[in-house]
Order: sequence, then structure tokens, then C-alpha cells
Amino acid sequence: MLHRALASLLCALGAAALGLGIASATVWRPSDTLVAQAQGAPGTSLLVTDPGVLDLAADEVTVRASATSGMVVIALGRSADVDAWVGDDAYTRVTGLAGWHVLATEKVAASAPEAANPPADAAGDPSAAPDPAAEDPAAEDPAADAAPDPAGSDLWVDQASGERAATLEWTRQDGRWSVLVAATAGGVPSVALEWPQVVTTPWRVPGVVVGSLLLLIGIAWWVLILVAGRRRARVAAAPMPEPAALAPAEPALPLTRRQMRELEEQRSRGKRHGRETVLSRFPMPVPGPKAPDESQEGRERRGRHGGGEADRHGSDDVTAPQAVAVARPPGEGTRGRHAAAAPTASASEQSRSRRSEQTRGAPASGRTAGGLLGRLRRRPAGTPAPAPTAPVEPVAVTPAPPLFTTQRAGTPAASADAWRRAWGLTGADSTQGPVTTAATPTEEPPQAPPRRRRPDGSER
Amino acid sequence: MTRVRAVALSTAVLFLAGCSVPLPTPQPDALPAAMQPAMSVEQAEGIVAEVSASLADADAALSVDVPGSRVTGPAEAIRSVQYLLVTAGLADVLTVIPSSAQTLVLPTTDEWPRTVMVVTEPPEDLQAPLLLTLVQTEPREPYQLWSWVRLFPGAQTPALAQPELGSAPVAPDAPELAVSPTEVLAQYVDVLTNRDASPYAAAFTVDPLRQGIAQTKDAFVAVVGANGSLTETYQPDAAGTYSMATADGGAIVVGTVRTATTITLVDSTLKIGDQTAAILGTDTLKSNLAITWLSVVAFAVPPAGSDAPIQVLGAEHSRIEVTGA
Repeated sequence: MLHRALASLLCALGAAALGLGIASATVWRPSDTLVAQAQGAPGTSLLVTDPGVLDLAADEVTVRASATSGMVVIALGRSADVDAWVGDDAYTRVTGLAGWHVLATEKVAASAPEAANPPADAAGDPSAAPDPAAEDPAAEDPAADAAPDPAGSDLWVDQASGERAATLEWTRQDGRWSVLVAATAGGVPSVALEWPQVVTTPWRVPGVVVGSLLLLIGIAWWVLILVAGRRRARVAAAPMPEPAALAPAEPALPLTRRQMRELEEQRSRGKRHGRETVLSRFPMPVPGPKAPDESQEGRERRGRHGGGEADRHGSDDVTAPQAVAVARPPGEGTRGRHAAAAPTASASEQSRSRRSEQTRGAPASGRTAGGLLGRLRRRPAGTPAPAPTAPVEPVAVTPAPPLFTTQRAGTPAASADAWRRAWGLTGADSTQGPVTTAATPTEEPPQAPPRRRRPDGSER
Repeated sequence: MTRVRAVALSTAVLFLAGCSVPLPTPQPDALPAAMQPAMSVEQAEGIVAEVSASLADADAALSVDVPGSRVTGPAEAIRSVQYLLVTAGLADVLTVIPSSAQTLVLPTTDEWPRTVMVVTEPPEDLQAPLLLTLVQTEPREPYQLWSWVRLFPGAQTPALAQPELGSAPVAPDAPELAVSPTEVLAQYVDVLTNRDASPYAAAFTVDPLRQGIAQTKDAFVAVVGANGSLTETYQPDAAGTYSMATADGGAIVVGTVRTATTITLVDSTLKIGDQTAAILGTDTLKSNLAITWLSVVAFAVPPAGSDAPIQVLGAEHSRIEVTGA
């Protein structure tokens, strides 16, 4: 799940980076031009830009002028010339940018000389020239006179004119330059300066590259996950028949009802303890010399123990293997016997003690009883192998005490028989078990160890 | 969640702050330490072309009063007379003014009036090139042809600054010249008046104009003889002078001299020549004749401290008014 989430995340990130990278160069691509506009102040028919305004944002500028009515003239000249040409007239001065698309302007009123003229005229008039009269002509002058036409002046380096709109392009030159826009019909001019912008898309290539990489990695990951998932599914599907295949083999031996019930239980248990099963397949190697001792000891004890248990439980008895498996130190034998009264406890205790004592020697060879049964059943085929495993099993089973009880309780006489047979013991008679086991230590030692050792080696 | 949001918000703010670019402000070039020419060579050539075109219109109309006329001052006066003569049927009276310039003298100034001097290519009739003086009196006025002079054969203008660098205009009373422009005219008038007796006679190179004026006067005196009296006066014209600095620190000074010739006849008649007669409308005078001449003279004035004589580069001399009966 984590892998899938990470792969999905990679895919999403990659797609996002890819999309952003492309969008940065397309949808979000900044404009190729910067356009700033200004409207002439009311009462001015002239508009002048400060030196430096024309090349404010780029070396090339397109000046678009328009007037509310009549002709509009764009004249471009040295700032000093433009200012001189405008002279004392009122005009609108563009001083820079007020915003990215707005030009800053200020109105320059007609200066003194022109205002001084009317009063002089008025003064020339005898007497009846009060102030308002003197001012009126001055105020009206711009309107009436408002059509100074810069067109054709020798001052201009470049100029353009048109009906209500005109366009002039200019490339920066050394020096101080200004543009003069005049609405020659007396309207108010407006101007738009348009600069080309060098548009860079720095995120396009990185976005596309990184995005593609992430996306590819994410997709590749997903593919791997899917492929692995399918393989696992195939692997999971394949083993299924195995139990089924085993089952058919089983009928060779007629199963008693108890056996069937056991089988079921084993299976369910086997599932539950799958991990232990796996572990048991890879046991730690047992030091050579130890093995015989152990086995001998075990057998000795087993005999004793088994006998005890057999006594108690009567013929139905006991899984011999359990008793046998307990490789208890000699001193503990008695305890074991005492404990036999409470089989569960004793078994777990034994296993515990055994583990603590010889973890290294016989690590949790926790084969569930299922293995035992299967092998027992197969034993008739003449395989001696399974038998030895049986003794080891109970130890592993210990963690689940209930198992023990059931197993012990349920262990059929048949299995006990089988076990005995595997060990070359006579008597299908369960009641004889104890007897024979008692005898085993003396009779069998030479045989048993090799037999037991072999399965150890093969199975472990 | 709030922390995540806060982090996202601050990141966005930082990102935007990083993105935002301050508004550009106008950064004009600094005013140059040295005054630049008031116009580019292209502009000057354009102006010369405009003047030529306007002059062509006037020539076609045989009148200086055409719309957009670009002839003014002495040039207008002289050109008017020439048109009059052409109208009267005289040939070869119209000075050909080439439209192409071989040398431009551009002013380094941001004030008015502004002066541009132009040495034209030699005209097609193999006459000497002309020195034109174009003047713009006010910002809203166009450059107009104020005068032209025919350069004398062999005259050599002093070295002039490249038009890209421009030449400084020289004030009429400029002290940096050996003689100020106004004084140059005054001295020249004195030489015309007193001829070799003038203390300034040696200050000027001998020039065809001075010789011509003297010869004309002498001729009139000879014609009139004892039948009347002849007086001739010279004075600098009110039109003033225009001067442009040369590379050596001197200047080219263009000024005008007005010559008034008055003949009074005593019981006799006088037959006058083609041009004067054409202007007057009659070729026979019974009592008096008044001729006003306008002379445009170009001088090369050395810089202050120089002992070199003032060179007369060229001139245009024409009657502009004739009255008589």
C-alpha cells in the first residue's frame, strides 16, 4: 500500500510539474509587451513625456496616441526642444509609471508670460478691465488657442499624425528624448506607451524535464507493483492445489472420524501458525556431538515421562511425541512427572524450560501437530523420516497451550501406534506403550540415535 | 492544519515578494558636459531639403509668398528682386541654390535663434558653391533661408568642426574673436566707404565685392559726371549678423551691408541698365535715381590674438530697391 501511495504521489507530482512547466510557458506566459497609458489632464491639448520615460522599460517603444476628436500629432525630439516648443502652454507631463499599466502624469499650467499678456492688453484698454475680464482671455486662451500644431517642425526627429489616432515607433538613442502628443483640434490627448518585454520561461524546461522524470518513475513503479502483484497472485494460486493434492493421497489410509476432525483442526492451526512453520524449516544447525546426547536423554526421559502419562491417561493416552520431545535436564524429570497431573501446564513449562536451556541446540523447531499427523499417516509408506519430527513438535506448540490439550486429548491411538511403529516398537496396543518405552532405553539406543539423527539432519 | 496553512501562506507571500519587480523609474541620460549639436546630420539634411523644396515652390511661383515659405531676411529681399527680374524677362538672374550640402555647420545650443550654415555642392552651372545661412528664430518657427553668398573663387573656408560635434554659435559681440562680428561689419563698411584710406583696409583681404562696389560707384560717377551729383553711403544692415565658430577658434561671420546710391540729375537724362531699369520700369531718368543695394558678406574672422587678416569668403550683392523719375 505504501508503495502504491508513493508511486501515485510520484505520478501526481510529475504530472503537476509537467503541467505547471508547460503552463508557465503557455497560459501563464507573461505578455510580450508592457503597455502603460495616460490621459491628458483636462484643459491641456499637449502631453509631454519626461526624458527617460520613453526607454523606461525597453529600448524600443511604440507610442500610440489618440485624441477625442480631430487630428492627433506625435512628435519626438530632444527633451529640451520639446520643452522649448511647448513653451508656456499648459500641458500634461508624463513623469514615469504610476503602476504597471498606468503612466504618472502631472498637469503643468500655462506659465506667467502668457498669463501676463492679457493683463497687459487689459491695461492697454482704458479703464474698464477688471480682473475677471483679464483672466477670462487667459483661461480661454488654451481652449481657443488649444491647437498648437507641432507637425512639421524641424525640431522633431520623428513624428506621426493621424485622425484621432497615431502611432510612432522609437528606438532608444543616446541623449534625452521626449515625445510630444498634441491634439490639434483642441481635445484632450491620451497616450499609450508599449514596450516589448523579453519574456523568459525559466520553468518550462525544468518543469517538463522533472515532471516527465517523476511521471515516468511513478509509472514504472506502478508497473513494477502491478507485475509483482500478478506474480504473487500466481504464486498464491499455485500452492492451493497442494493441500488438495495431499488430500487425495490421504485416502490411501482410511481416516477415522477423529482423524478427520484432527486434520481439520490441524489445518486451521497450521494456518494460524504459518510463521512458526516457516521458521521450523530453517532451524539452526545443531552441533554434531550434542545431538546424540540429546536424543538419548530425550529418549530416556521420554520413556519415563511417557510411562507416567500413559499411566494416568490410560489407554487413550498420550501423544508419545510430546513426552519424548521434552529434552529436559535430568534433574527436571521428577518435576515433569509431577506436572503430568496438569498436562497443559507441564507441557508449556517443559517447553519453556527447554527453550531457555537449549535455545541454540534445538531452536523452536515448532512444527505443529499437523505435520506430525501427516507424516504419521505417511509413515506406512515406509518413510522413517516423519517419526523423529514428532518428538520435537510439542516444544514448538507450547505457545498455544490449548492446542496441547486438544492434541493430547485427541491424539488417537492410531497415531500412537504409528509412532511406536516408526520407532520400531511393537504393539499396536496402546496400553503397552508404557512398557515398551520403558524398555526402549536399554534395547534401542544403538538404533534410535542414528534414525533420529538422520531426520534431524534432513529436516533441519 | 493551521500550521500547514500558515506555512503555505508565508511561502506564497515570499514567492510573490521574490517575483514582484519594482516599477522602473525614468533614468534619462545625464545632460552632456559638452553641448551637443541641436540636431543630427540627418535632421540638418532634412531641413536643407525642406528649404530647397520650399525654394523650388517659390521659384515656380516666382514669389516668396508661397505657403510654408522658408525664405526670410536678406535672402527674401534678394530673391524677391530676382523674381521681379525674371518676371521682367531677364535671364540668368535667378541664383541657383543647390539642394545638396557638402558641409554642414550645426549649432551646439539649446537656445534660439539657432543658426545652421551650409556649404552647398557646386551648382550645375559650374559656379562657386554657396554658403547658406539658415536661421530658426523661435522653437515653433521653421528653419528659414536667411541668406546665401557665392563663395569667391579661390576662397577657402577655415576648418570647421564635424557636424556630429557641432559648432558653437558666436554672439555678435563675442570677445573671443580678433574682431567681433558687429565690429567686422563696421570695419568693412569703413573700408567700403574710405577704400584704401580706411585704417582697416589692411585688415581685410582684397575681395571682389569691395572692388565691384567701388567700380560700380566709379562708373556711375563717370556717367553722371557734371550733369548731376552722386552720393553713396554704406551701413551695416539691421538684419544683423550670424556667426558660427570654426575649428581654429575663429568664426564665420555673415553680415549684410546696405548701400544706398543716390543720383540727382541736373537738367539731363540718364539711361540706366537692364536690371535697374527692369526694377524701376523705365530706363530713362530725368531727375533722380535712388538705388538700394543689399550685400551679404561672409567673413572668416580669426580668433582673438591672431594677426591674420579677416578673409572675405563670399558675397551676394543685389539691388533691392530702385526709385527714380
